[in-house]
Amino acid sequence: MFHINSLNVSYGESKVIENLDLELNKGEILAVMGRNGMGKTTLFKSLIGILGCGSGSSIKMEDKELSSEPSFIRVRNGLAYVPQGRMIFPNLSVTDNIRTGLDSTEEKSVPDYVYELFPVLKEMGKRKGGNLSGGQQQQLAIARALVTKPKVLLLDEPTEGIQPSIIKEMAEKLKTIRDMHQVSIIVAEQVLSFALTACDRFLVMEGGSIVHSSDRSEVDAEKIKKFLSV
Amino acid sequence: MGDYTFDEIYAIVVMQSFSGVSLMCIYILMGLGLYIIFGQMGVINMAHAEFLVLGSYTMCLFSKFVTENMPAFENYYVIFAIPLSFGVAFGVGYLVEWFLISRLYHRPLDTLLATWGLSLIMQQCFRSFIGAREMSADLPEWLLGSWAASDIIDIPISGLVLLLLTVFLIVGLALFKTKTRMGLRMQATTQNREMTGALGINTKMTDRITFGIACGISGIAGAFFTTMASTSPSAGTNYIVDSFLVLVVGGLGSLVGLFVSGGFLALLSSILEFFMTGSIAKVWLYLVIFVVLMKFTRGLFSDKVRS
Repeated sequence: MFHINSLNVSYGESKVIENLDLELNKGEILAVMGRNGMGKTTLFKSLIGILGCGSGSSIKMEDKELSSEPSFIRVRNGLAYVPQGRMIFPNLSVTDNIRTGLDSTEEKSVPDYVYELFPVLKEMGKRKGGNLSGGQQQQLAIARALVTKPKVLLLDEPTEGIQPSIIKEMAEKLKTIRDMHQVSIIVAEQVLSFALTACDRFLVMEGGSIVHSSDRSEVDAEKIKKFLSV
Repeated sequence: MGDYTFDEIYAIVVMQSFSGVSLMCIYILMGLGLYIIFGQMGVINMAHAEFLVLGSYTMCLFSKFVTENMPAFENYYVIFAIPLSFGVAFGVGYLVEWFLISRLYHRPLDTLLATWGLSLIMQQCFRSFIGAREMSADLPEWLLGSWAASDIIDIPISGLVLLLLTVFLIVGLALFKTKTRMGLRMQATTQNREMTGALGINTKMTDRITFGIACGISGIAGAFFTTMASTSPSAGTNYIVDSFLVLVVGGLGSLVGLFVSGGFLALLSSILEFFMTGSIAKVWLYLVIFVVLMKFTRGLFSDKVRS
């Protein structure tokens, strides 16, 4: 349903992603793993349209070509993005932060399923986003992306800065989101235990290319660990 | 001040405060435009005062048109001239954002230079197309005169009307900002443009409308300005620095701060100018601002959130 072909992304003269191909199936949770600086965040930013991609690149959502569209059109076609560091709006209330995601939908108020998934956001509805803890901000960022009604959710390092005790809980939450909303998820991660709990397929990026790919049934955790170690 | 009795000083302070109301409204409305452009969008618009002049000229030219062509309508034209001033300034602001400002986000020095150039271009356009001579609007009779609140207090009616309209505008903007989708888009875009786009919001259109609204509010300030003084191509330059100060003293991002600091600075300026020369009064005013900013470095009403 989501196809990326010959994706090229550069910062000036420096090529960060070169000829990357990727397919995502409906309802699949795909882990994109790799050390810092290997191109995971650049990949996500180019998919959502924050960074432009080079000529010949193709990003297709159900046959609709998105590579030359601005971010808001990509979102309206079913892509959603939770960035590294969450990037919630610090001066907006929690409720208003979620409402920003409603712009591309018909909904007028925050849907109930958001509060069923993340009850803490209801309790803190009037608090400013900037005053939440890291874990609460992560929930807010996911909720905000989810209300755009995505077909594909891009999650960039969701465990960054999160207490180890709730990482497993978050992995289970991802599976719940996938099951409830029939959404496919691509998650960039460095925490292998999280990826092994949540994901169906594993890719490893190095130097802007995919160097390893495996399904859950054949995953070799030790091999992936080697790619992640410095 | 030694020659005045306490009662006289009280009367002077009260009278000067009321006569400063119109100035306060201009400061607040100019500050409101800057609050959006500088405080929210992070753009230093050196041409902001020219949008005030644009609003002033719209009011003056509309007044002239009505006087010459529809004299029976003279007493009511102001009701239409104010939204017209907003509309003209909004339209020009919308185009300026589209063709100039949108290319300069995150480049503050370039923006400063470009908008300064725009300010000169707009001033020259006013001179070339409207004329260098001062121009004023014929105010309707109901805006002239004053209301005697007591034996010693006469309140100018124009000041009262401007105050009411200014409060109406601030409340309206606050409601627009917090209760409407467009307001939410504006807030989100000004806090993080890239992330807002990644949530499905058309940030370019939002930027244009936001900038247009800010310029439109300056246009309204210009319409109000015609009740105080005549307009000339460079009339706005006297107000731009003070308007920036109102914004900074109030605290970037706070509408309450804007109202309080606009009122405080305009009324203080008006009272000081009664007792001393204009330039010495300015020195005292800037000293007060200096002390306030020493104590409240982020302004009187700044937002406090975790970084």
